[in-house]
Amino acid sequence: MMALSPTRMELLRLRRRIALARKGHDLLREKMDALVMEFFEVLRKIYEKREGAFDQLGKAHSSLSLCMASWGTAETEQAAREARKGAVLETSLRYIMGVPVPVVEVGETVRTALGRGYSLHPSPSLLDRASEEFERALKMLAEVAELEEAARALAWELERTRRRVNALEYILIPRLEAALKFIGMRLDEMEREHFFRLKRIKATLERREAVGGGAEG
Amino acid sequence: MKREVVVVGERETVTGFALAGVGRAYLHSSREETLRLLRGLLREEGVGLLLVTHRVAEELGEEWRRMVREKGPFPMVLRIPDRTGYRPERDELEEMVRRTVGAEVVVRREEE
Amino acid sequence: MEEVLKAELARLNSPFPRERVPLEEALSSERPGVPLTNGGFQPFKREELELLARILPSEERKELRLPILLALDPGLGRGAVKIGGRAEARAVGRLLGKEVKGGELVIHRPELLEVRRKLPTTTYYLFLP
Repeated sequence: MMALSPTRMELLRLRRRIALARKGHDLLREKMDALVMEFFEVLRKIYEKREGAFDQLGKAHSSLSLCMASWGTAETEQAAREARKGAVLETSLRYIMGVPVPVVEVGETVRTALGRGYSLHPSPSLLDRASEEFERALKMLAEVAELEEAARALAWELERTRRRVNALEYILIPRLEAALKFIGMRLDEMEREHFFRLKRIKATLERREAVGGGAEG
Repeated sequence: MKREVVVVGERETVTGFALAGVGRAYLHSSREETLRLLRGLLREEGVGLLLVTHRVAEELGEEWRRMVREKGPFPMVLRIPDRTGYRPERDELEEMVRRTVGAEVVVRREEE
Repeated sequence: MEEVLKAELARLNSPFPRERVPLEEALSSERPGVPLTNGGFQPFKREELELLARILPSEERKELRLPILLALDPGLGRGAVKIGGRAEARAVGRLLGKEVKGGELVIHRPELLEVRRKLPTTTYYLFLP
């Protein structure tokens, strides 16, 4: 229990602190509710996109195995080393209730056979096919990654906000209210004591006056 | 800001993404080596997306999970299936839902 | 704990857009978005701008300022969101198929979800103390 002096001042101070804590609680609860909504919205989108992206990756791997089997593993790996590199993403951040989440603009990832820069002309169609399937997969995976990062960040903030809301609801506010009640009671008691003391004094005075034969009031 | 894509995985994953133009595709060797590599990659400003196969991520264990939890929005990290399509039984997302939101909200979601 | 609370409340609206730009300006901008108080930048997705342009008459495209602020005000009850500004309220109203009287609109949770689904980058949460 905090150190309390049972004064009117302290009573007013406590009332102000309780009001602040309640206001903070309500605001943070709004934030928590909105975060839950945003989190599930991101989750819904992940479930919508993830299977498709993983399926595409599976397709890409099948094409690659086919290419390696018929054209040769070493040759395929050599082509992979030669392939023109430059898979980049245009990235930035946006904020959802102060939570930074990634924004990715994935341009066209699928390239022309020439754009891939293999030394063989024409390049084997199985190789082109495998490259194209991986290029497609890359774009879809980047979109899923963007969503998963958002989910991770929102979940973290949600956890933190919920801890604050709970601490206010179950610890701080009840503690302040108990203190308020305690001071209120002490003040009442003191007032009662004061009142009785006054009454006693008055009675004594009246008795003295009666004994002294003073005029009636 | 332009950021690059980096892949860490086994041979076919590395080959496939290199064909798609990923400039840095690393072959997973040992747990220690890959952890050291990833620790460096997570600190690189220029890395936008880090693709790691589920099998490798699983081998890296708790230390890798902690590194992912503690990083910022970039680089984005995504676990992907390898050529066998392998995905672990415990779904990371379901666990995130359970851990962060709690049972009460999961129920609410089902009612929607 | 009260210090933590104060810090948490100070964080609620941070970062916040430094300014709001008319839809018409955003539509013709090469890189639509607004600067944020932390030095960051909130980008607007073009498809959202085009959606807004489709549902608004041309004079309101000049009046509507982005991002549209979604004000969470506990005074209005749990889950209530206020949209101030005539053009903004009407844009959101039209999006939801709701009649808007006056220059203000109050919506609730399921509608908020619909708005956020359609306009994730061109709306912004605002916490009202």
